[in-house]
Amino acid sequence: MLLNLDLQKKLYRTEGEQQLSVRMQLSTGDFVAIYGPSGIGKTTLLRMIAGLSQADAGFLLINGVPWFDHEKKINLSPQKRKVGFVFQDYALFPNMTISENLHFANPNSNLIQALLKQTNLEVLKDKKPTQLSGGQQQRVALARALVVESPILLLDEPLSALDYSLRQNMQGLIAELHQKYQRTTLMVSHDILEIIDLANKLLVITDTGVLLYDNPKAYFEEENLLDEIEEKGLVLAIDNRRLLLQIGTKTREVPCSKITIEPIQVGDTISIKRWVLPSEIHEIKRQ
Amino acid sequence: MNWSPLFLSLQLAFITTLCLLIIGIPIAAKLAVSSARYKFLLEAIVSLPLVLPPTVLGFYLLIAFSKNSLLGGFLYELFDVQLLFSFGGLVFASIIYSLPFMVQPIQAGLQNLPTSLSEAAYTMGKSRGAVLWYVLLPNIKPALLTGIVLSFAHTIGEFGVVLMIGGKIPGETLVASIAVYDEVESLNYAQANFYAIVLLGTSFVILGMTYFINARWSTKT
Repeated sequence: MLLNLDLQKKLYRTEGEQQLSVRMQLSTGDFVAIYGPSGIGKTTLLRMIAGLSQADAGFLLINGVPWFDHEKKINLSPQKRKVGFVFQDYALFPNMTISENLHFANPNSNLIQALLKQTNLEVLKDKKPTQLSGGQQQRVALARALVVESPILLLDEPLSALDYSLRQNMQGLIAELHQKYQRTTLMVSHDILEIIDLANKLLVITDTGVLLYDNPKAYFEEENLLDEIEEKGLVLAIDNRRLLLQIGTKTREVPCSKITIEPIQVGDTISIKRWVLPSEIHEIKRQ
Repeated sequence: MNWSPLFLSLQLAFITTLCLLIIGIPIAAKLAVSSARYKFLLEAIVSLPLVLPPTVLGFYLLIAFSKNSLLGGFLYELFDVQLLFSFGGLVFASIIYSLPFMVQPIQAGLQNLPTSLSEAAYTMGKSRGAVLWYVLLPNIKPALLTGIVLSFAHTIGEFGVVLMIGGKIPGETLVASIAVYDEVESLNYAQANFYAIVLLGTSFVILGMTYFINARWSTKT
C-alpha cells in the first residue's frame, strides 16, 4: 500500500461550513481522478497531501511512513514531503529558463534530458516560460513535477486551460508518462472523457460524502453522465501512430495505442466503441 | 566650491540603502505572508516615518542616543560608540526614517506574486530562504529597484532628523540638504544654489532612470 489516508478538514464555503472527510488507500501506479462540484474540497485534498494545507484530524501514510498524524502530532513540511505537483496556473518560475525550472526542481541531468525529450521540449529548453504557449507551459509543468522523483504526482486540473486538440495531445502525453514512471497520481478534473481515458480509480466528492470507485466508467454510466455507442468504420489509412477511419460521412483519427485487433488493412471494416457525453436531443423524425 | 557635503550625502544614502536592503527584505517578506493577528502593529511601526514630523523622530533619537539613556549608555559603555552628532548616528536614524520606502514596495511586489510560485518551490524541497532568493526576489525586480531608489533619494533629502541628531559638523554630519540651509542663512546664495542644483539634478536623474527601467521591464513581461 503506497498511500493510506484518512483525513478530515472543515471547509468554509459560501453555502456554509462543510466537513471534508476522505478515506482512501492506493497502490503504486494508481491513477485516481478526483471529481466533484467546484469548492467541494478537491484541491484542498491535493494540498493536504502536499503539506500546503493542514488537515484538522486523521492521518496520511506514504509507504508506511507518517507524513501527517493528528494524534501523534506529526506534520511533515511540504519540503520534507517533496511531491510532484502541477498547479492549475502551472506556477513556472518566470525568471528561469525551461531547463533551469527543471534543474531547480531536481538537478538530475539524466532525468531532465529524458523528460525534455519525452515532452518534446528539447528545442525550447533555453526559453523563458512567458515565451511559450499554454500547451507548452503545461508540458513544462508536467515535466518539472516528474523531475521531483516523488512516488506521488498531484495534478490540479492540469488541462482545464487548454483547447480541445491540445487537451487530446496532453492526455496522450500524461498517459504515456504515467505508464513509464508509474507514479501514484491524483488528478482533479471535471472532464469525464479525460477521466475515463486516464484514470483507473475515481474519487467522487459530493455534499453527501466521498466515495472511491474502482471503475470510473461504471460510475459515470450509472449516473447517466456517459453513453457508450458502437459504430462501423472503414479503414482509410494506417501509419505507425494513427489509423484513419471513415465513420458514416466523417473521417476520424484513432491512435494505434487503442487498437487491440491485428492485423488491420486498408479497406477493412471494423467495429469501434466510443464514449460520448449524453446531450440534449435536438431533432426527432419518424423512420 | 566645497564638495564635502555632497559626498557626505551620497555616502550616507549609499550606506543607508545597503543596510535597508539587508534589513528591509526580510521584514517585507515576513509582512507579505504573515496572517498574524498583530501584523498591523508591525506595519504601523514600519510606516510611522511616512506621517511623523521628522523633528519628532529626531527628538526621540536625540534622547535615545544620549549617554544617559539605555541605548546610548549601553553603546557607549560596551563599545565606546557615541551616536549623537556622529556619522554612525545619521546612518542609524536614516535607516529608521527611510524604512517604509524600502519595505512597502518590496512587500507589495511579493504580495502581487501568485502564491503558487513559492508553494511549487516548497514542494520541491526548497527552504523559505532559497525560495525568497531564487524564486521571489528575481521576479520583483521593479519593486526592488523602486525600494532602492526611493530609500536612496529620501535619505539624500533628509533634513529634520539630520538637523536634530547630527548637528552640522563639516565632514562628519554636514550633509548637502543642511548645507543649503546653512549657506542661505549666511546669505551665501551662490553656494546654496550649487548644492541645491546638484541635489535637484541627482534626484531627477535617479527617478527618471527608475521610471524608464521599470517601463522597459513591464513591456518585456
